[in-house]
Amino acid sequence: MTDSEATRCAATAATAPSDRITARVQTLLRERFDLGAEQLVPDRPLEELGIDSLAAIELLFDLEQEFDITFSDERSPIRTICDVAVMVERELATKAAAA
Amino acid sequence: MRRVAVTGIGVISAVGTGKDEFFAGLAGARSGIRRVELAELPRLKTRIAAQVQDFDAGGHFAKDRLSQLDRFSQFALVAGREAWAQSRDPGHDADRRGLFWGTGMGGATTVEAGYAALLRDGRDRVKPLTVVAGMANAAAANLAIEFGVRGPSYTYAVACASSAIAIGEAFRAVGSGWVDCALAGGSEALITFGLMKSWEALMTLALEDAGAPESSCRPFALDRTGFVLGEGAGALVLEDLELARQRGAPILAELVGYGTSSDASHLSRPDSQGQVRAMRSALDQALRAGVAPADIGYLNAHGTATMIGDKVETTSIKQVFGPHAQRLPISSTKALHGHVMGAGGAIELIAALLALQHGTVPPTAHLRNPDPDCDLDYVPLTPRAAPDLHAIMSNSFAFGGANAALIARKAA
Repeated sequence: MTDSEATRCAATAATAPSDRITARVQTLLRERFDLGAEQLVPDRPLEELGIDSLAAIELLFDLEQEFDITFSDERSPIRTICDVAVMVERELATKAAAA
Repeated sequence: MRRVAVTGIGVISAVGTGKDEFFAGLAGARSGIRRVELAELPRLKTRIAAQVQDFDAGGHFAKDRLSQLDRFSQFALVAGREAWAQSRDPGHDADRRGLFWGTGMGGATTVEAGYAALLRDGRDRVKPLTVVAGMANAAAANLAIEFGVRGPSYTYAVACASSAIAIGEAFRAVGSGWVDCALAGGSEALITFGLMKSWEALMTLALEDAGAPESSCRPFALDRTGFVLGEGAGALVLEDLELARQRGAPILAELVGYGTSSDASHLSRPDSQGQVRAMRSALDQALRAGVAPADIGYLNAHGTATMIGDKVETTSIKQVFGPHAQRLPISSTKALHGHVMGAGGAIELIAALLALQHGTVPPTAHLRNPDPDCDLDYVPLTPRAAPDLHAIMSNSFAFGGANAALIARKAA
């Protein structure tokens, strides 16, 4: 695995998040859960990082604060760091459109 | 009824963390009471408390776990770990382990922080784990998870008698054979602005001694003015004595008596007859185990340092013990660790168990001017050597009228 693969979300969908957002999500995860940078592979399931359902709720809370957004109640399942970044990106877009 | 051993002790308090530091503090009459550390200090009339000093939560818990733990759960885990380690892990079938925990107000700190965010700071939401950190059984749940306790897990909310009753019920559960071992005790962390104000409003808190804040709580003294809020936790590992012996566990003491009663008369005024019934019930049970009332060599009193409380307890002790009351060394360690509410019963039983172990009775600190109405041997100011100490008793009397007494003897 090359460095770029380890830090970027695979562009498998049109919704692939920007590297900038992904990086901010990774930083937040690192600080919140005391994780090492090498653990934060974007496609890795959050559960493998020890982020269970309770911790995920906290993560959403922190993300809302970090990005000044409010997640809609209809959430797509978040399994990986990429999923989180996608969700953040979508909310940021919604917010920008509303502004 | 099986015999019940104490195989582990753990404690965290303003007087010290860990049983050795704690007992050295009590014996040395080192008060944990001082100016409270709160941002709202200027708005408080009562500005003293017995706070756990230099508590480094981050040193005890990983960051991601910390946000799930109210301070009362943090204290519970610190005390629980010490007790569990001392017992050298009881083993036994995890399904036959029980958790019996006491707390007066559980995760009140978390709940108050939530209200502050909503009502004071005008935010629209609270921390996401407010419910699971703030719930009354959060400490018990976290202890059960950490130590693999898969049998019954109970939380007792009986105000100042919470953890005494939790330990008593754990004693019954092990004694009856329902569980083989139990982690029992209690924890409390109520030194917040809102709760300090609530106690202030009830006018039961001690006035600050201007010259010496640390000596503001003076049980059984003529110049007593009330209690000082404390915080902390006490934990015990209880086990079937035979099973504990078989696995070579350290037998620190044997629990032999537990009595409880309800005054059913008044929300806050102590009732001597209710206290007498609890103590007699514990003594009756102890007698069946071979410990007579005259064998009790130290009583850790409830001794809150309220005007009425200490007087009523003195009357009750006299009625229960008769002539032996005059010879019985009694002290209230609340003068030092404060009134730890739901954790008080556990912390004070531990003080008495350590007295038994060390053969030293901790004193009632700051007792320079005895109240003539509190005319028993309240061991003023300095510790007393008691090499022959064989059995101890600890009293806990709660707002709401619940009373509890526990009796233990030296391990044979």
